[in-house]
Amino acid sequence: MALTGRFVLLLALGVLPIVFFGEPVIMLLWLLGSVLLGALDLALAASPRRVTIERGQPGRLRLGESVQTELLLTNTGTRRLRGLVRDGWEPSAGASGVRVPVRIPAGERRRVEVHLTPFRRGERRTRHVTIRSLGPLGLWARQATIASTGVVRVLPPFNSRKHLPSRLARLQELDGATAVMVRGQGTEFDSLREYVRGDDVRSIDWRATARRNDVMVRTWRPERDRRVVIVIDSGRTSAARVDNEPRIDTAFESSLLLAALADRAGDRVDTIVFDRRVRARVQGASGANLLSRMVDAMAPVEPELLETDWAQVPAQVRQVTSQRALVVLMTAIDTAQSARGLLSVLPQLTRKHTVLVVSVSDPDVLAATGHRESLDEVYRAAAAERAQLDVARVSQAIRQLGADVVTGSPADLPPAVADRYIALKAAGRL
Amino acid sequence: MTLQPEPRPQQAAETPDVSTPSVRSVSKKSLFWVAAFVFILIVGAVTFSTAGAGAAAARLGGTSPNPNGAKAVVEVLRDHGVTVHLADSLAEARAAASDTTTVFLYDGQSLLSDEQLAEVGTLGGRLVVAAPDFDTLQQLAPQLAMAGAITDSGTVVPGCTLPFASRVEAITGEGQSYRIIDDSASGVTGCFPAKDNTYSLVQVATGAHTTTVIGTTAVFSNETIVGAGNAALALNLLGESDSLVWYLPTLADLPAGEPTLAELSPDWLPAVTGLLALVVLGAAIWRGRRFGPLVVERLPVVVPASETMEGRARLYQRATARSHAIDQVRIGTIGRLATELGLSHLSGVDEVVSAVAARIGAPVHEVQHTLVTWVPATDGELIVLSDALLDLEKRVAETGPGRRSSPGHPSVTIDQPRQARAHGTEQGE
Repeated sequence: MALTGRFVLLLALGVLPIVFFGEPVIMLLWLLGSVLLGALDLALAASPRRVTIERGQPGRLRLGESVQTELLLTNTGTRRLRGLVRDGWEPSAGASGVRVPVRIPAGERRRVEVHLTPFRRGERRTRHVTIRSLGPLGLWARQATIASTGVVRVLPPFNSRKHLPSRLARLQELDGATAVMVRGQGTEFDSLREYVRGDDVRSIDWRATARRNDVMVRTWRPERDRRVVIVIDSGRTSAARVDNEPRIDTAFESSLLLAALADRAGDRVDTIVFDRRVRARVQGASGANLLSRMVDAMAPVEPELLETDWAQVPAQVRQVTSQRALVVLMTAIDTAQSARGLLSVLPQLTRKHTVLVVSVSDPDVLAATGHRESLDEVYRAAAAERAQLDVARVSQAIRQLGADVVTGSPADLPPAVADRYIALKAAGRL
Repeated sequence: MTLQPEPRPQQAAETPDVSTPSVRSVSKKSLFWVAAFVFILIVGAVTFSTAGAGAAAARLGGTSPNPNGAKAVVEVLRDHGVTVHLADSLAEARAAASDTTTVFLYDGQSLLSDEQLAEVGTLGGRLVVAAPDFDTLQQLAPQLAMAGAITDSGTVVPGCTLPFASRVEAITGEGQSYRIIDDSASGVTGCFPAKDNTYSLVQVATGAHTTTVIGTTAVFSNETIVGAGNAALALNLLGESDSLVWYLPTLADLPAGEPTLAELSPDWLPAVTGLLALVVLGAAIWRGRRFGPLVVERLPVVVPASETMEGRARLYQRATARSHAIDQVRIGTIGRLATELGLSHLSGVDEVVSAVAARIGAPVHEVQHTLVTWVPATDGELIVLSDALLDLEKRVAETGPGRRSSPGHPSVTIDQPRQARAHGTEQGE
């Protein structure tokens, strides 16, 4: 049961007759009358319990986008229902208009549309719908909550896709310009074409030239069908926020850009999200399917407050591929103590694979080293320098173990990882 | 949000799963508590109505059967043919009193003003005042003074020749005693003496009118009247004339002053106030009624990554680790200077010092002092040294051959990640 503002107003209007007639007993009469009217109204209201709910499932959307969900309300009662409906979405689902007015004649069905603009990644849910049914006078209302589950999956935004065209262009340059590139172990024969001025004379294929009446050169293309294994650390260090974005979200952005790029370059990309067990895994997908499956797998993953078990990582990589691969470890490099697990398994990985360790660096720390106006700030700068020294030491150790390190602020990291991939590809080190 | 009509469904859907409890189930569950509440209300009402009667009776009330009432003495006097008028106000007492009447006054709450007391002093032929306070005594018997309370529970004997007292053996002594301060005045007789010329009962005769002051109420109250010779004194004292006015001042005796707020405000005000209170209650229910249950959401942990850095900074500061802190800054500075000067990362501090000195044209020992040997002794020195390090970096950057004019320090924060990454690339490949 619920009251409306109209009932409160009706009660308040009772002041006028009391003052006009000056009889205190009118107050009791007015009160009794109001309550009787309210009770009558309540008795005449349609039952909200006799409304059945069907729900259109909105499916998936990227973070930052909007989606329209629909509720189908069927009034199975015998009276016309007039009232308000609230769909119980989680606050971070960003539902517009929490209370929707509805009028459903007896035995009919109406559609209610709710627009969602979620502001958190993951699965956003609603578990119930609440209906408040007003009486014909609009004084008192009946209310009931009906269970009805709805889910919308909010995918990582992949903001870094704006970097994709420029990186793809560089990949194509790599493709066509191979005639002038060093012919190393990492390039494969692509095709023969006519010589144009400026081509490297060393790439002239004399046998083909002899067969035709024209000078032919061999072209080369970067190696294809290599393996890229992305391992994203979802342990406790990934929960920390840099620039108000959890490290794991930056790792997702970086891996999506890298996967898109590597897929276009003809390599096979596999992704594992791991802390002490596998939280998400995408294997054997390619083309448009790859990114879709990756964002789908990543959407519900939140950092766990656990120490990552690095000892299991080589086995996980071995499960994905036994070939030589580019293993990209998306984690955090903070101090020698916290990176001990990572450092201890790196030799196993570098023996067989090319390993790239990717870590977000904190712009706040860099900024802190420059501000030294007060005593507090000098100590802050000292602590920041110390933090950077720690990172530098761990990076050095990783390089000594044969792996490569990429660090950057959340905005810079995804293109930096993509650039490093292109550099490795150009050098034929995959 | 929009509403659009939909075609009528072909078949009725299944019964919805409603989580709100129905009125029937709520009333079943809460039946016990409602019953318990109503029971407590009834018991409370009954208790209040029966207990209220006893509490209302006044001390020494002529109709009160309580231990501190005086119904006993009043009824006995009536049996002996004395006409007893119970007066609640001065007006009633005035109307009932004639020249020969005995007036009994007990003003336990000191309600009467001086003027009213003076008027009481002229009523009837005889006035008996029980346990008067200071003001009452001043007005009715100025020849007397308070002489302290008698607290022992013994009895006192008459010791005087007044007719009503001489036939009494003894009365309860507990109560107030009085001293006669005006010895020269005639007609003042003290009875029932305690020590030091103090008396429990004093009679002051002024012409035909006598005023009797008695310090104890025990003589009249139901509980103690049967003790010692109390009853004898009370009956003798009050039964001397045919009629008695038993006057206990009440709130009705208070002077009517300015009209009270309640008298000034209109009749409908309490009703309107009550209605407005109900309106407020209704508004609270209207706004406070929740539209369905709360929605719970599992929120992520929010930990800024720079938390450890801040913590370490505060640790340095609390431990006043000046030299340790400045060493961290120096290591960072020397690293950046080495990069700026094109030296290897493996080059020693002395190499960097001499290269810096050569670049900016400063004496080697000065640069050495800033970069290595200066140990800051105070917080002020720490800041000065930190500024000197910044200055050194800036000068090296500015004097660089073919360098940009902006300083190469990380205060240009956007440059830094790129530098770090470029550096990483060199190392990695």
